[in-house]
Amino acid sequence: MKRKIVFALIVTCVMLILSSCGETFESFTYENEEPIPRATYDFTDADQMKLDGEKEACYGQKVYRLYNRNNTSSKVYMDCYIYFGKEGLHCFVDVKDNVLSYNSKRAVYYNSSVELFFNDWKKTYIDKSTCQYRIAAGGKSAQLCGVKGKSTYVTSYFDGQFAVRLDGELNSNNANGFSVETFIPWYELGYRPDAAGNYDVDGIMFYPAYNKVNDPQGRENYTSRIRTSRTYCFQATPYSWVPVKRTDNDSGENVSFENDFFGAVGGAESYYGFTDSGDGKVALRSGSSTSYAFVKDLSSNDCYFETTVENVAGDSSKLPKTGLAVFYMGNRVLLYIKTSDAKRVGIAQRDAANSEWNWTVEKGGTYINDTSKEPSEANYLKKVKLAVYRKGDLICFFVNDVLYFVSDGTDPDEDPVCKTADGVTLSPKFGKIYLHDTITEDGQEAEETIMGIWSASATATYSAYSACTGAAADAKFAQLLNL
Amino acid sequence: MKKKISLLTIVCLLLCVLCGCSETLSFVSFNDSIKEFDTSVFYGNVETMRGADPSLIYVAEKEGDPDSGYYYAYVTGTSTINAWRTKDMTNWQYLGAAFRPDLDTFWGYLNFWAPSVFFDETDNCYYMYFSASWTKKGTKTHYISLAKSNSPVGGFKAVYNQDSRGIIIDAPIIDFANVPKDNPLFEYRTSADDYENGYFGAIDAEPFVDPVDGQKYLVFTHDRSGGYNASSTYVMKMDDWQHPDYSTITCITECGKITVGGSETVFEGTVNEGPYMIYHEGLYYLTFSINSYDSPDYQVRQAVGHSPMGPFKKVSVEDGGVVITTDNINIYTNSSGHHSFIWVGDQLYLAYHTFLNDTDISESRKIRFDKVSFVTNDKGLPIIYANGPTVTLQPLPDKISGLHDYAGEAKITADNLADDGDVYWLNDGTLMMHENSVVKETRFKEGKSVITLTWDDYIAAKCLMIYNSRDYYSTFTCVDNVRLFYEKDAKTGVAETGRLDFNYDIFAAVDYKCAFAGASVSIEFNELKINKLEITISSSKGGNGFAVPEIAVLGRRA
Repeated sequence: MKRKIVFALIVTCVMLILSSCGETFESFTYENEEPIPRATYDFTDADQMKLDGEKEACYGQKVYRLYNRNNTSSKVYMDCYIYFGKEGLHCFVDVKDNVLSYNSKRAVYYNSSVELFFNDWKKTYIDKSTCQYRIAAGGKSAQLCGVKGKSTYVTSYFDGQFAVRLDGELNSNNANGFSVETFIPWYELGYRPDAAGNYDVDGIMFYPAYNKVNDPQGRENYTSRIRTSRTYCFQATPYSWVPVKRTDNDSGENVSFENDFFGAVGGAESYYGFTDSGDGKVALRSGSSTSYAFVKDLSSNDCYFETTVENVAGDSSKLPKTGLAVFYMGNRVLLYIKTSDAKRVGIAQRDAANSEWNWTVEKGGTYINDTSKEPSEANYLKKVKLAVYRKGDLICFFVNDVLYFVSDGTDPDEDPVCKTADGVTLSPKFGKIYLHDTITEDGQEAEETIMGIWSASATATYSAYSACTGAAADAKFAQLLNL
Repeated sequence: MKKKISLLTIVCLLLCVLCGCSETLSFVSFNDSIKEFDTSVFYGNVETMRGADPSLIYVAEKEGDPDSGYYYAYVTGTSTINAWRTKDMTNWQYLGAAFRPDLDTFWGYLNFWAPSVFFDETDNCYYMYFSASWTKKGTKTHYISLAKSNSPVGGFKAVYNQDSRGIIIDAPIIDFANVPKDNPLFEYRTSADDYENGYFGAIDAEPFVDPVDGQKYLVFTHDRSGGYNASSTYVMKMDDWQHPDYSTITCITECGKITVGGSETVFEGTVNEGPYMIYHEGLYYLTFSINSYDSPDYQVRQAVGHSPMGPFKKVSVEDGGVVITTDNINIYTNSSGHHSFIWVGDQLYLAYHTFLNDTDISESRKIRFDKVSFVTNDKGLPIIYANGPTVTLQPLPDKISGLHDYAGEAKITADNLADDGDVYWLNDGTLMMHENSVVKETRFKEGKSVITLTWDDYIAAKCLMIYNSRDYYSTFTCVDNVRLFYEKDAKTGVAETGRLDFNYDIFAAVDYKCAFAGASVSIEFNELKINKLEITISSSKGGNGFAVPEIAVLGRRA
């Protein structure tokens, strides 16, 4: 009996448990709604081209290959492709670089990164419609647009989109490279559609640059980079950029004007910012902030160039200067006269490691005021003859046929005496100077340079220009120094 | 014998009732990832938008208007003012440049800073104050001007003044050269200065309409450019949003001083910037940022006055003058400043920027939000207090989620309180966020502690958040159990959660022994009618008692 009662009680309890305390709560889950699109625009399928960092066949042949340091034997380079879409401009760049350095805390350009500038066809200045993308291998980016009347860019906004695809690992030294694909709608490049919605685009001016960063560790504070852009190609002078015509999606004609003396060198762009007046003189265009004209097909390490410059003028607030230019790879050496001081001549340099102009070239190369001259004859702004002679590592600058500055590649602190390769001692009026990144390494052949005239915001007229190479150049040099 | 059997039966039945009816609640715990939560209930301050110096507006839902029903945020740019929008404060959509002047012709081209956008019902337009450098006067100058738009999306168009002949003046609309020269604040700079005579660098313009009399004001920062070593705050009356009454320009904060011209000092670095004015119960609150924007200690402070024109007296740190700060911690967030306020329904929120990188001052800045309330300090002064900066999930504003925190309406008791433990802080709606906070946490002794919330009427609860201490060693390691006394299908019962762990891997920087202020043990479940909650907690990280800053019970009126 007792067992029955206990059993009944247990059954009762179990039933009570099952009945009153059984399933009460439905299982809870939640599901978030599809988030709103991250941006109001979506160009990932613009012109039915998938923006994914992979090159579609319609890109065709590359329009430009940019080698690191413009050294055509370098294994680090960037192939650039352009496609003219109905909706906008597509650009694809394929970078080959074994080191892909990236740290999101660094500025875009201190990472392995590309810089892509786009401007309207044959437009000779930059403005709000000049678009620049800076895109790092790790995806960090910046958008900038040109500032009209200046040579600078400002961080800005324009509709556009890009994709990056890595070929290898970031922060390693055994990667293959990365590719970048960009899209910019035509209206952001200043074009307006016709009634049918089509854009009348002849072509674009394209300026690629690459920042190589040799830091496979991706260190936060690593700020050393090698920035390469096309030789003689500058951000504020779009007429010097790579012209790409719409007709064939390929490199277009040179938009720069050439004359008999100044022009293209080795296939590179010739000159810009100057006008051939047709009477044997070349004049600077007004309003051109930076201008160059190179002696046509003069590419040598043994050469001489002279010209006469007169009527130098310019807005004093812009620090205008003009003179002769000697171009190395990523490096410019200038003999200049300055409009703010009729007696001032000097040497300036922008070397490969420094993005700033060094107007007081280290160790004795500072500008000088030629106080030894009488005012009447020292007025360089009126008329002055400038000349440069280069032989190997020796560079001599002449003003009115007088040797003013010499650099022979040796440190003036260690060897203040200037000598030719033949051991002839030179006596420059204003001493020996020391230039960076112009010295031939042991066992190497001296790098060839090109020469020409240049201006920073100054206006002037150049005439009586002549150039020669080899024995003729050496003879001219000897003649000037009565050797 | 029969009696014994009957007694046994009754005991069994009682046991059944008492023990067998506690059931396990089906719920989701947001304890595994800082980024995964129900976005209809919470926001996370995790994946927010990039930008700095935010200005927020809400555009009410309007049938047929695709741009309505969003919160819009406008942020500083270099040559544009950019905008984002959201409906849930978690998922943001980038709108690009809401104000994008033609740089080829516009007077400014750089430093488009600190927008302030507002809707003016009288002319049905959105206005935007901004500052920029004037191209012809150099990048170090800063001028305030105005743009307007018919749409919150943009594009905003610059507003210009006209001269007496009706010719448009191509210049910023605010020109302090118009300050009467007999005004002591007219700054007549010498010709040796980099700037023209009368230059008065100004940024961070913020409009204010006095709810008492409708008078318009413009509050702004006199910045550090132009040879000034410290910034300060000014106000002036506005005839309309385009035309100031320059004769009224008045300095209302002086950097480093409690009052303008006073002797009492306060450390603020060299900055009083990003001002914002709000009115509350007869008082005018001027909030502003101190220390440099690139300092981890960039923060928002407040001053109180009886008129928009001042005088204002800064509230000391001891009296609760800090609106929001990271305490210079620099571990999980830093540099919380340059803010604006936005009402979301009847709740006030603070939008501010921190740095994209939470552990140091680097990369871009990003926007975060936190709830704000008025609390009364020891001197009886209501002060503004922000539950931030938070980096973990927080309840969405009631207006967005449709839920309300009913903890504040509960009667709350607790046992095992520490000697200084006070249950007041458990459901007052505030979180102790920084060292000098006038808001406190409720402290408990080590060992089993039960917190009980009871309501006179049932509420339809949906979420429970048990906030943890900002002090790493005072954090509770887990919630032992939560018992929810419910009514369902005309039956009552008790649901239990069992143990709920506090995940130190995502809510703390263990290496630094730093808990993220504002982190919680949070669960969500199907709506359940409850009138009582029991929360049991026993152990702390440090073994010497724990603290609970706040409990939130999100739900609806049953």
